Amino acid sequence: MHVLAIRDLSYAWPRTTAPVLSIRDLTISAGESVFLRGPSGSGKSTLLSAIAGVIETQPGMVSVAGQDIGAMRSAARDQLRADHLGIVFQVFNLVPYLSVLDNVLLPCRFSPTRRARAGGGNAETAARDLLAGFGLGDQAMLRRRPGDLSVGQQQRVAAARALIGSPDLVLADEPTSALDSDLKAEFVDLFLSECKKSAAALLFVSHDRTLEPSFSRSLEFTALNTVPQAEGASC
Amino acid sequence: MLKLACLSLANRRFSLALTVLAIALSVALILGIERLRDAAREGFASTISGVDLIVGSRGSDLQILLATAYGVGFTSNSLGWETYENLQALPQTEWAVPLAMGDTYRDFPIIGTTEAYFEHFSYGKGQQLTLVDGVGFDGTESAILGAEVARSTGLSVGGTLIAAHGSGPVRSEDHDDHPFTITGILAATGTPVDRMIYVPLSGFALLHVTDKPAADPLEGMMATELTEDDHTNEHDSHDHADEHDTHDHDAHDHDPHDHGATPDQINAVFIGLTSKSQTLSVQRWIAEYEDEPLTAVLPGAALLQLWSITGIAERTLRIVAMAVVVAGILGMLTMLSATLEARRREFAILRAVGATPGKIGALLFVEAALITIAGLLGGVVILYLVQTVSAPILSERVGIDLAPGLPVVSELRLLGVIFAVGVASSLLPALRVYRVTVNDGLNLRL
Repeated sequence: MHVLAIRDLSYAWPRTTAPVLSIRDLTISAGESVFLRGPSGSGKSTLLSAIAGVIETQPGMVSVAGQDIGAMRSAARDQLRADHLGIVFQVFNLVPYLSVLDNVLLPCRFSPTRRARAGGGNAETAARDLLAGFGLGDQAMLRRRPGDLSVGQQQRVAAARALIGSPDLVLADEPTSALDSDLKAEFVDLFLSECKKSAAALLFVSHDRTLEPSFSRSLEFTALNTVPQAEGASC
Repeated sequence: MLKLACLSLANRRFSLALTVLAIALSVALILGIERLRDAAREGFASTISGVDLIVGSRGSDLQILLATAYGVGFTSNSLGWETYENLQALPQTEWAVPLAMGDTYRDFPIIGTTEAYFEHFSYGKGQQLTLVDGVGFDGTESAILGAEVARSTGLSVGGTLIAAHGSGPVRSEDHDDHPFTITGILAATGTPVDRMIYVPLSGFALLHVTDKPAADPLEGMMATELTEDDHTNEHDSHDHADEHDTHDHDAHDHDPHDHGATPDQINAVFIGLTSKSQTLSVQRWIAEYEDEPLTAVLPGAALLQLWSITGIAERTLRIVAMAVVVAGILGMLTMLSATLEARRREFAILRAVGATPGKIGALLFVEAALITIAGLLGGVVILYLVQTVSAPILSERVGIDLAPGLPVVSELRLLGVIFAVGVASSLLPALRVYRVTVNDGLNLRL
């Protein structure tokens, strides 16, 4: 079953006519890990925004967990995101006033589905286990605020938050860009391992090809996106 | 959502504390004004709970009430002793107490009356006046002090006081040849009684004996039984204007040892009736009294007149207090709105992990509710503390019983309205959040 299906997707920024995305066909199955590489500014993050339902794409179809995002209202897209998507941001985007544990549990607060998958009343235990898997199981660590963490620790918290409650699809937008090369490999291994445990499909965006061999499939974004790339474009 | 709101608020605790303080102070102010008004009214109303009618010479109901029961101002004219006797003789009259006034001691009004005053006068819920020291009237030139008078002047049983004519300090031309000896001190009542000095009617009359007729009621006050030559003095001038600012007493005729003296004229009569149902018929009889023009005042009705006059000031004060509350809530609205920009990233993250705009609006709603509740509780606590500190002072200085207490039903209703307005004020930033986050979209690179 395809967790993600994209057909004839096209997107142009508001008040512009030239499309920045034009993708004829992309599918990702459950449990699959896809490495999407491409140069900065080529539109990778815009594609993730389209998949997450943050931007409205017309024409075209984006289906996540069997639901057509384009046919949904804004609040329904928010709920779909809560129920079926885990996102790891490039700059992590942890809530500064929440502890490590509360940050990880955040999706469960907004999605009964995710909470149920995380064990319902035992969601906190699931979060602790997840964090322990990422090497953050220390009791004192759980109570820390993001501002008290190193970049590597923040990144692992962001990954745990994306994985809590076993989402159907995990989107990761260059999550290793702030890490040293040693830490990158370690993080990717951990991340893939946790995704496999929860049987989540993963779309991992990066322009660091050294990470590519760890994934089950690799895609070149410029080949996927048929829009001509501007010289020196950056996002 | 509650936990999230609490944590979010804790993250902004400094600006939050200021907002809560602003609301708390405005809540304390509006509740304080309400309580002060109620306490003042209750204090006024409870001053003469046992009196059915107050009879004075024809004049303003309020003036008679204020002069006789509260020691504020003076009655415009006097009434004859014979009238008092006629009133006392009415079959509907259970008791009648004569009152004479016009003199002061250190601005505390001196009331000339009889022992009957202490038997029949009651305050609050029918409480009788009681002595904490002394024996009550003991001779013509004895005096009983209200609690506040004793506290303020330092006078005690056995001490003496010299009455001043009208208000103001004692001067050489005042009644320095008629000192009153303190023979009793009343227990505190929390009413204007605490600020009064009571002397026997006969003793009061001694101060105002004159051998020539006077236009002023007090000048005409004759101690009919006072005939001893060795106490004869001259009153060259005796001017009792309503304000009683200046008075000259050059001479007095009196007998300080004559306890049975009665004046020709007095200022008012407190009347207790055998049945309340007869109040209006007696009032009508007094209004039609032929020997001299009289006014019979129903204390409750006169108080309503007073409230209608003071109501404008009360309403103005209340409007000001409401304006302060509105300012406090606007402060909260400003705080919530001002932080929206700073919180845009926070809201975007929440939306990214699945919070709908409705849930973020609910978050703001809960935050506003928590801020308002904290402000309301803070206001009640501040008021309680202020009342605890100020209650004894208010009771002593102005006779208002403002004991601290939990909010009553009417106050809870007011707090409910403030809560509703406070929570409703969060709708505006909540709507703004919805628009802002949807318009901006969620930038994954944030």
